[in-house]
Amino acid sequence: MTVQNFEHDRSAYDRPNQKWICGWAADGGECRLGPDVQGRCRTTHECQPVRKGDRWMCTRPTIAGGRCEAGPLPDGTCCRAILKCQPVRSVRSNRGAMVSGFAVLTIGFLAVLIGGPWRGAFVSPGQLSTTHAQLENDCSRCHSAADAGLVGVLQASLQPPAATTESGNCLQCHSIGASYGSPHSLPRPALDVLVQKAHGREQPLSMPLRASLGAAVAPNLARSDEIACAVCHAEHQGRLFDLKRMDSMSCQSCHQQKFHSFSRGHPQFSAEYPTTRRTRIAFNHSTHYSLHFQDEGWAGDCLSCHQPDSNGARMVLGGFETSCGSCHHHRRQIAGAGLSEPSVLVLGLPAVDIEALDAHGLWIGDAPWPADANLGDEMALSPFMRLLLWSEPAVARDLTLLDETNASLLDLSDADDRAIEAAGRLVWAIKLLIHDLLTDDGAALTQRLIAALGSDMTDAQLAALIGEPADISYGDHQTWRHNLRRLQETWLSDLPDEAPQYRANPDLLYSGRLPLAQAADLPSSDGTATPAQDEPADDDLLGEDEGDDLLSNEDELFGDEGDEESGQEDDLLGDDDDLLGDSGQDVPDQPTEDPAQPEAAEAQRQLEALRLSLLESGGWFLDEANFAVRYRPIGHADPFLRAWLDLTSSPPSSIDASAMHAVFDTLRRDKAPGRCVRCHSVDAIDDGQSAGFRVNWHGARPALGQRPFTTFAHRPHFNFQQFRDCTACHSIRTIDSTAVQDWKRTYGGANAGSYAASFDSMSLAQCAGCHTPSGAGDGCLTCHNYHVGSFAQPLTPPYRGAIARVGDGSKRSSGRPINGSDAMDGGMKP
Amino acid sequence: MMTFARRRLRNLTLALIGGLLILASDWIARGALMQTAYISGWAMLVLMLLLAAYNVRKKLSVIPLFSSSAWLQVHVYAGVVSVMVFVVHIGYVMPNGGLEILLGALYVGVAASGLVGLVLTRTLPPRINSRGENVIFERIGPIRRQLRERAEVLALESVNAGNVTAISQLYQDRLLRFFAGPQNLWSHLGQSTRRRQALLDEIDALRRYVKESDRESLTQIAELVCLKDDLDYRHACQCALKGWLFVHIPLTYGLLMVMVVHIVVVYAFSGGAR
Repeated sequence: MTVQNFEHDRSAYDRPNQKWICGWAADGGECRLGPDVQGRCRTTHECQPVRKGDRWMCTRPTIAGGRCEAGPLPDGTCCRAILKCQPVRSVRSNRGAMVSGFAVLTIGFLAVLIGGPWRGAFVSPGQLSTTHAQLENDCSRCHSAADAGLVGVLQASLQPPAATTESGNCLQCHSIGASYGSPHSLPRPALDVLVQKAHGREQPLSMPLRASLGAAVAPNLARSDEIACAVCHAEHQGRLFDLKRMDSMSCQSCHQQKFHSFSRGHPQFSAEYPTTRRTRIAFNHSTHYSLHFQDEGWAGDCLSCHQPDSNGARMVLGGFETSCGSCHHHRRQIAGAGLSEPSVLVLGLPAVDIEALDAHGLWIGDAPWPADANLGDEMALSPFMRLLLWSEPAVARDLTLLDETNASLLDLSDADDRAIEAAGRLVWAIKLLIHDLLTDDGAALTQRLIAALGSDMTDAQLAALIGEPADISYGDHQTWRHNLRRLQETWLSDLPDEAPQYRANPDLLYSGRLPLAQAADLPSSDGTATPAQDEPADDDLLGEDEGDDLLSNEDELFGDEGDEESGQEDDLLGDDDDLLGDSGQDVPDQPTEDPAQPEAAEAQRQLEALRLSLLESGGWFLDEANFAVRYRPIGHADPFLRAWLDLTSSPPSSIDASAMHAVFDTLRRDKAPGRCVRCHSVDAIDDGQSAGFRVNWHGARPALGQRPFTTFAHRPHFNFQQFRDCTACHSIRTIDSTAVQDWKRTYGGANAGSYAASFDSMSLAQCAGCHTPSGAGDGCLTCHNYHVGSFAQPLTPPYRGAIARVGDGSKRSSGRPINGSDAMDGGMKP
Repeated sequence: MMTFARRRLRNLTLALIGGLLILASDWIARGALMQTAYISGWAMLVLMLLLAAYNVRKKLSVIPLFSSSAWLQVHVYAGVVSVMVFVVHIGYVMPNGGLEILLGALYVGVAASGLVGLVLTRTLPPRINSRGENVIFERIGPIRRQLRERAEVLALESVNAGNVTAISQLYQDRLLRFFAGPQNLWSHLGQSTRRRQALLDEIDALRRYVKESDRESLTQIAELVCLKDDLDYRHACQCALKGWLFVHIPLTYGLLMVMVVHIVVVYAFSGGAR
C-alpha cells in the first residue's frame, strides 16, 4: 500500500530547512502556511476567500480538501478557523541550537577554568616527576610565561621564549656549565676534538635503518648550541616517569658511527681499556700480587685496599693507613723515619767569596761572614730563600744576572765587576731578608710569599707553608723563627744594627771595610745621612729585652734550665754538626759529662734526650754545620712539604715562576726529604690557565659532580659470585724484570698517559655476554653519561634566588674539558 | 565501474597505509629527538579543519566544489587517518592533564560518534528500504494521522453497522495509543517485531467473536497496524540517522575551540623545545 503521494495537488510542500515548523506537524495536522521566521503562528483559517463579483469564493486547495461545503461567511471570512499552534524548531534548527549551546558551554567552561585559580592545574599537561613534585604549583619556576597573565601567555604563544631562556630556568637549580645547550654540555672546541677523533674510527658494516633515517630527516642537533633541556627531558609525564630515560637510537641520530646494539656494532673497547693512565699512587699491582703478597703471607684481597664509593660505582683506594701502612709503616721507606730522615734546607747563609768582595771594596757587614758557610750539596742559595728574595725586583735582577753570567757566590774569581757587585747586593738582600723575617710578626714573610706566588693565600695555607699548621703542636724551639733567630744571633750578630743602616743607604756596599762609624757618615744614595747605629726604632724590636724574652720562653720549655744563661742554649744545640748533617745518617755526639757536677750532668743527659726526641719527631732545627735552618718531615703526609709541592707545582702563568720551579724541583727529587713523589706521582698539566704539574696525593676519587663519558657501577656486579674476584675482569699481568723496569720508568716522568699497565685490557665480549636487551640491558645510558663535565648538585628551590641566572656573567661553573685525568685509580676508567 | 565495496577497500587500504607511514615516521623522528608532538599536532589541526569543512561544504551547496559524496569519502578516511595521528600525538599514553584530558575526551567523542554515524549511515538505509516504502521524515506525521483516521473510521463503522463493540473496544484499549504517535523506538532500532506481532495476534484472536462482515474490518485494521508499524520503524531509523549528528557536530565545535587553547598553551609553555 502506498502511503505517500508526490503529485503537486496531493502532497504538501516540505521545507525541512526552515527554522520553525507548525506545532501541529507532529500530529500530522500542520497548516499550509507555517510559522513566520520568528517562530510565531500566523495562520487563522484554512483559506483566504476571494471575492468574485458579489460572492466570496473558498480558496482551500485540493491538497487540503478542496472547497468546503459551507463556504466563506458573508463578511468574506473563511468558515473553518484553525486553532493557533505553538511552533516548534525543525530538526536542523534544533541541531544548530545544540551546537551553539555546546559552544557557549565550552567557552564558559574554559573561561572558568583558565580565568580562575585552577588555571595552573587545568593547563598542566600532567603531574611532574617525583624529583620536581615540589614545583607542582609554581609554574613560573620553569615557564617564563607563567606569570605573564592571559595576554602574556597569548604573546608567548606567538613568540615562544627562546630555548636558552627556558633552559635557563632549569639551570637555576641544575648547573651544567656555560655550554649547557651544546651536545654533551661540552664547549664547542672540546666537542670538535671528540668529533674528529670519532671520524677516524672504522665505520660498522651495517647501520640500523631507524637511526639512519632519523639522521636524514631530523635537524642536526649535533651542530646546535641551543638544545633545550626539554628536548630530552620531557616533564609532566607523571610522578614515576624517568626524566633521564632516553632511547638509544636518539644517541645515534647525532653520532656518525651508528650500530644496532651493544653486542652488534658497538665500537670495540680501546686496546688499553679500562686503563687510561698510570695509577696516581705508584703501586705495581703485578709485583705486589705475585711477589710481595706471597712473601708476606698476605691474606687479603683487592677489597683490602679498594672499596666501592658511596654510589657503588668507582672503586676507591683506601687511605695510607689502611692500604699501605700495614706493610710500610715499619720500614724506613717513607717520611718520618726519625733522625735518619733527610731534611730540607730552607733558610741559610750561602757560601760567599769574601775575598772577591773585599778585593772590589764591597762591604757586607762588620761581623765575619761564615767563611765555609753552606758548602754542602745545596750550593749557594736554597731555593726557598731564592723564592723569597725573588719577590724584590732588584734582587731578582741580580739573581738573574748571576745566573746569566754563571757566577757563583762561592767563587767570584772569574766574575766580572757587575756580577761581583750583584753578589754583594745579594748578600745584603739575604741579610735584610733574615732581618725582615725576624722583625715583624710574619708580615714580611706573608708579603714576600704573596709577591713571589702571585696570589693571595689563606691563614691555613700560610701556616702550612711555614711548617706550622694549626693542628700540630710544636715546641718553640721547633719553629722556624726560633731557629732563624739563633742563626742570626750566632753568625749575624750585628744584623739588627747593620740592616737599617744598609736599607737607608745601600751605598754602604761600596764603603769597603771602613769602620762602621765612618761609614755612617757617608752620604746616602738619596743624599741623606745614614742613621746612627743606635736608632731607637731598632732597639724596640731587637733590643736585649726581646732576646731575653725569647730565651725566657726557652727556659720554660726546658724546665730545669730556667736559671741558665741565654748562652746555655747555644751550648745545648751547638754540637749538632754531625747530627744535623745533610746525610742525616750520622750519630750525634754524646754530651760531655762533668763528674764534678753529677746533678748537672744528669740534667744535661735528660735535656739531651729530650732534644733528640724532639729532633726525631721532626720540624725545624738549626743546622749549625751548614749555617742553615732546616726542616725535617714529621711523618707521612707532612703538611709543610705537601703545601710547598702543591704551591710550586703549578704556578700561575702571570708570574716569573723560575724560583717556584726551583723549589718544586728540589722537593720532587727522588731522594728529596720526605720522598713524597716516590709514591705520589707527578702529572704534567696544562689546562689553558696554567701549565705545570700536579702531585697526586690520593688515588682517583669520584669528584663531587664530576660526570665522565663512561661510567661503571662495580657494586652491582659484586652480587654475582664470579665477579667478587676482581681478577675475573681485571686479570693481573705476569711480570718480568723488563716489565718492572718499564713500570718504574713510567713514574720518572710527568706524563700520566705513559705507563706500563699491571692489568690485561678488557674486551667488549666480557660485558656483552650479560648486557643484552633481555639481560642486564644494553642501552647507551647503562654505561655512558650524556652530560659530561663538572656539575654542582641540584639546588632545592629555596636557594633559587641566591643563584644568578646563566648568562648574566656570574656563571657558577663551567664545562670542564674531559681528559685522561678523569680515569679512576688503579688505572681503570670509571 | 568500480563497485562500492572495491572503492571502500581501496580507500581503506590507502588510509591505513598513510596511517602506518605516519606511525613509522613518528617512530623514526622520535628516535632522532625531533619534537614530533608539534608535527603531529599541526597535522591534527589540519585534519580537524578538513573534517569540519565537510559540514561547511554541505551548508554552502551552491559552491561547485566537488560532490558531497566525494567530500564524504574524504571525511570518512581523513577521520580514520586522524585516529592514527591522534595516537601518535598523545605519545601512546593516556593524557593526564586537565586540558589535555578534555581535549582528548572531545576528540574521542567526535571520533566515536563519527564511527557510530558511519555505521548507521551504512546499515540503516538498506533496512529502511527493506520495510516497504521509503517515507520522507517530515511526512511521517501526516501519514500517521491518515492511518489513525482510517482506523478510527473502521472502528466507528463496526459499531454503527452491527451494534457490536468488540472492534471499538479493541481500538479504544489497544489501537488508540498505538496510532497516536511513534511507538517502539528502541524495539525498531533493535529490529524487534515482537510488539507488532503481539498486536496482530490480538486482532486475529478477535475474529472468532465477530460477525463475518466485521472480519473484513479487522483485516483492514490489521493492515493499518502493519503500515503504522512500518512507519514507526522508518521513523526510528531516521531519528537515529539524524540523532548521531546531535553529538558529532557539537563535539566537533567544542573540540576546535579547546584545540585553539591547547595550541596557545603548548607554545607558551614549550620549554624551548620546538
